Amino acid sequence: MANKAKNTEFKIERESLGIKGVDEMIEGGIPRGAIIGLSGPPGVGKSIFTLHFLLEGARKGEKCVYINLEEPQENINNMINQFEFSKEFMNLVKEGRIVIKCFTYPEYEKIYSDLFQKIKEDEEIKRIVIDSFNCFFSASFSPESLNIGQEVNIRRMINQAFSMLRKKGLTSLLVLEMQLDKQPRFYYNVPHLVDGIINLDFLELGTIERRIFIPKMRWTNQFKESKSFDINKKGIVVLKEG
Amino acid sequence: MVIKNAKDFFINKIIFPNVLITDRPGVIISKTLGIFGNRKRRMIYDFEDIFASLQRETLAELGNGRASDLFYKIGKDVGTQYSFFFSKQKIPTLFLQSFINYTFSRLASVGMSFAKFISFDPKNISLVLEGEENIICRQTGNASMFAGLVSGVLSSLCGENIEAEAKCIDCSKKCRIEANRDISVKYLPSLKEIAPLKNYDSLNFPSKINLPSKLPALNDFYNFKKIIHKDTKFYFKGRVLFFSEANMPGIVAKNYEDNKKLFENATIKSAESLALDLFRETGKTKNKLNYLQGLLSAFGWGVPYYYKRESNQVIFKFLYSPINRYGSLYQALELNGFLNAIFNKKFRIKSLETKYNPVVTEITYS
Repeated sequence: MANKAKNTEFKIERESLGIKGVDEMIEGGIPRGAIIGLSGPPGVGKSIFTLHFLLEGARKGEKCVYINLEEPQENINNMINQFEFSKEFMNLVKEGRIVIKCFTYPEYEKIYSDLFQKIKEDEEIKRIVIDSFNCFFSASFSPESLNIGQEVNIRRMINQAFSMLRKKGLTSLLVLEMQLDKQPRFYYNVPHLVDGIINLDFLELGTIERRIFIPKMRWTNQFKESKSFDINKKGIVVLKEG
Repeated sequence: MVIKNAKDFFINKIIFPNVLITDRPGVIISKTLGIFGNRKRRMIYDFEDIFASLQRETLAELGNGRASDLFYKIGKDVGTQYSFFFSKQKIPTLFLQSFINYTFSRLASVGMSFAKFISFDPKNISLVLEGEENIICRQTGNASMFAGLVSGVLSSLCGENIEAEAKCIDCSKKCRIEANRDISVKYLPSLKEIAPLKNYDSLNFPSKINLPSKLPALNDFYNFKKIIHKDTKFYFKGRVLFFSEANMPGIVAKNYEDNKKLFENATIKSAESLALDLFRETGKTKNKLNYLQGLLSAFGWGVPYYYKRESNQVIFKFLYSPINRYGSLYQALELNGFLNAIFNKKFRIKSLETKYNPVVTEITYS
């Protein structure tokens, strides 16, 4: 009987985020195929966090895609070059294991159907980062100015994106920007749709202190407290607390 | 609070369910919801050390008798005013016990641990409160302010004046405050003078907070473990905090009008001493000011959004600062002490002005 129960035990496959202390907060990693929202105010380290996720996937031989809708490629390269892992990261880019795509929003609006189609067709892609997902629906920055047609269109785009990510089983990180006053920029129902939320935050009291919070992670008994982290040459490093 | 019976449950969950809104920089709101409608109070945090130090200086200068009378008046004004926010009618005798349990348990949960054990005889209106390690008086050895607070709250709840006295044994090991009809009249507050302003709500509860820069809310301090709650007290960096309704500093200033110099000097001096210790490891002046801004924002003093240092003066501006009938002198003096410590100067308040719509308090020190 005990053996039978053991055989039917439901086990979630997990994907490491590439940051040891964060993986430890969520039973070893995020559920494979989950769509995770990564939120936080500007400057807290969200984009750097996603680099670890991409690098970890590429190290395992997975093809990883990073879509940036805010910064030019040069800025992304500059960000990567700050860290000790930059050489390895750039080699993986050259090898095609990590694909970086930067678009302005008008460009993206024109090509997003084709882009999604390509992602759909590429069997090798296992991980994707969209930085930031808010820019997927730029009109949402001033939601009060939206008419019903525009709002319906935005909701359709969000649902389409989620549907594609889920069907393909991609493990995804969606960067969700927060304004400095902590009011999330018009997320629609994104926090409900995602399988987990990782929130990075900082407090400035003479010096900057950063913490990571995981308020939501489906199928996971996540760590209930927050953890302190630092950004240094190694990237994001979760600090041990006494 | 421990809910002992159905009446306590009714008071806590139906009449006065309470929430604390802590996610807005510069503003802390205690919201009591219930069948009598919503009632909101603007709250602030401050350091126990500042107030305890002011009391010690007062005891030294005025002597125990006069100082105790002054503290009692402050406490009774605050207690009487506290009740304005809860019930305008006399509490039915049937519910009096539960209202008293509710009110004093809430005080006990924020450091006023003199009210840990409550014993009330509703028939004779006789109340005994006991506890230990009560905030402030554990440092000063004088519990008159809390006796006044008990008298103010109880009188309001009962609809008749009931005086109180501190009968502590070996302070701070056993706090004991008794209130009953046999204690002779000590002080009768003027309700007209201490009632909250008519436009209290519109001035103290901004509907939308627009921030010019990132400043923390109280919630951030909880999330970042800067404030911890332990044994009924709140601590910031090991220092006990005092949580009060935002009218309290104004009431303190009003009661010190006859001893203004003592009030000013003692408050500035204690804030200087606290700040020297608090900012010791913060390094540069700029970082200390940043720390101070964050601290005041999280403590609900308004959004300290503007600061300017000129050759011989410092200007500080608070957006959405708490507004009370007697002004912001107490906060301005405390900030005076903090700035003196940061700049290693002896500034004094040059001007203190509040503008409305939106509420902005501007303080200039020179």
